Amino acid sequence: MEGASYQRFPKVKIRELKDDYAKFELRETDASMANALRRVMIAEVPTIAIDLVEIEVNSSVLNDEFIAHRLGLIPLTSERAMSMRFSRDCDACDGDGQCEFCSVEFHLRAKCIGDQTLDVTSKDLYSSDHTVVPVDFSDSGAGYENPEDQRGITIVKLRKGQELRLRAIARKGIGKDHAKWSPAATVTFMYEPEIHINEEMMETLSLEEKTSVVESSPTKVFALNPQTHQVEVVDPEAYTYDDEVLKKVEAMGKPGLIEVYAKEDSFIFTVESTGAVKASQLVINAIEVLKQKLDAVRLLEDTVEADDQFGELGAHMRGG
Amino acid sequence: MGLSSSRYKLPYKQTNEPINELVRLELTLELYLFANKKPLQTASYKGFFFSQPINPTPFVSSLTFEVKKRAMNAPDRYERFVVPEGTKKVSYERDTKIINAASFTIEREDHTIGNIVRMQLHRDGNVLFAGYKLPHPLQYKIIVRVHTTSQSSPMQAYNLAINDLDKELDHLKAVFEAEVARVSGAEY
Repeated sequence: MEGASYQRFPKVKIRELKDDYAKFELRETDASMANALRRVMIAEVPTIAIDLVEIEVNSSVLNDEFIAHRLGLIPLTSERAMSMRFSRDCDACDGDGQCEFCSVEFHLRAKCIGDQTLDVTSKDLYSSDHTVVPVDFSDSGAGYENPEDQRGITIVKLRKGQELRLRAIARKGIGKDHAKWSPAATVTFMYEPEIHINEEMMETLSLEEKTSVVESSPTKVFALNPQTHQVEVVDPEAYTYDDEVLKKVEAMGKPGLIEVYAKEDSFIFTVESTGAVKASQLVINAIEVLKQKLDAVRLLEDTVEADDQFGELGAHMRGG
Repeated sequence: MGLSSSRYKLPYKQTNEPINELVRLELTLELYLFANKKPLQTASYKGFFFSQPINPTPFVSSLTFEVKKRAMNAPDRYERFVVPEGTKKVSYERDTKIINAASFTIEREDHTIGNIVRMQLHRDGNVLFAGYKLPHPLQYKIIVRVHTTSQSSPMQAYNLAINDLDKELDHLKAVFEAEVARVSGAEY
């Protein structure tokens, strides 16, 4: 209303981007924003997962609900999820949440005929919608096809004569409801460290002392340059904020030799997806979902106007 | 144990001619086990009855059941994010004793929104106090408390914070998408 804006302008730099893995730097924003993104990626980005299982025949060694539970945990490609409706909000179907707009139907028929054990896997699940299928985990670009990696997720193993026939309905949901709907395997972020080495004090150290400082860190942050015999920072991001180097430096009697600061507005995100959504798409969907949540939380027009009247009245009465 | 509802669904019209197709009757029985007048355990049985062409004798050919057992006092999982009918998502109360102070009660939200709104409110020069809390971890709502100077009002500050966050997210999305396009474009 006044034109004042306290908006921030974040910057992003992607370090690594694969189909299911993304590592990027997020700068010039607050820790609350980074944490909100992390929470939304894990719990509130919608996906599609099997939610209802109708079993016709099951003579396997696992009981019905065991198999239904395992089916629910299979990740399904969920590009459609953002534009789909939740079953509870769908008005097209007659209340049972199984219409084509809000759900996807799967069926599985397996019978072991030969003497060998039959492996029923996620590849045996047939979908009614070709855009929603169990995620394919085979290594793309592998040199030669290794048959062990391409079998899909094992659901149950059948002996000769055992049969499994079922029909499953997959619906849209979020991780907050049940973990099967979470699209993220892990999402982490760390503060970017800034490491200062006091070069003058470093000169006063002997080679053995320098080596002991380098070795005291459990991760490889420092290294001793063989030519110049200087302690150098080799990988600042390997620093896990354990203070082992600082303790060692103090024990040597030289506090201030090495100082580490965490930059408060610089974060390094690591996003691993289950395959339901691509890692980059996961981040974009998370931003979208966070925007929707903020929109839902706005003050409604009528409450603001009514209070404005009182506010002005009150201000007049207070002489303000 | 109380039998609560049964539902018959006939997808086909009934005729007197011998039926060559299979007719499906779907029967759902919902059983509730009551304790303290609250359903503890619900089991629903869905049976498919197939009628034979010559001798229509219904028989159960497949059976599914889903049994959901809830602990005594635990709320349903969807309660964490579904606002029930009749409850407003956001409501506020002005503080009677302090001017330009108000508490906003946001239903079915948690630290994700609470922390981000609070930190944005801190950036506003007119805001004297901003804080949020979850009154109880099993009650899914947050209370955001804002005090402002007389130059502004809590409602204005709150709306400004939300608008600024919205713009920041727009910017972040644009920057991220551009960066993804740059990185993937550079690979090909």
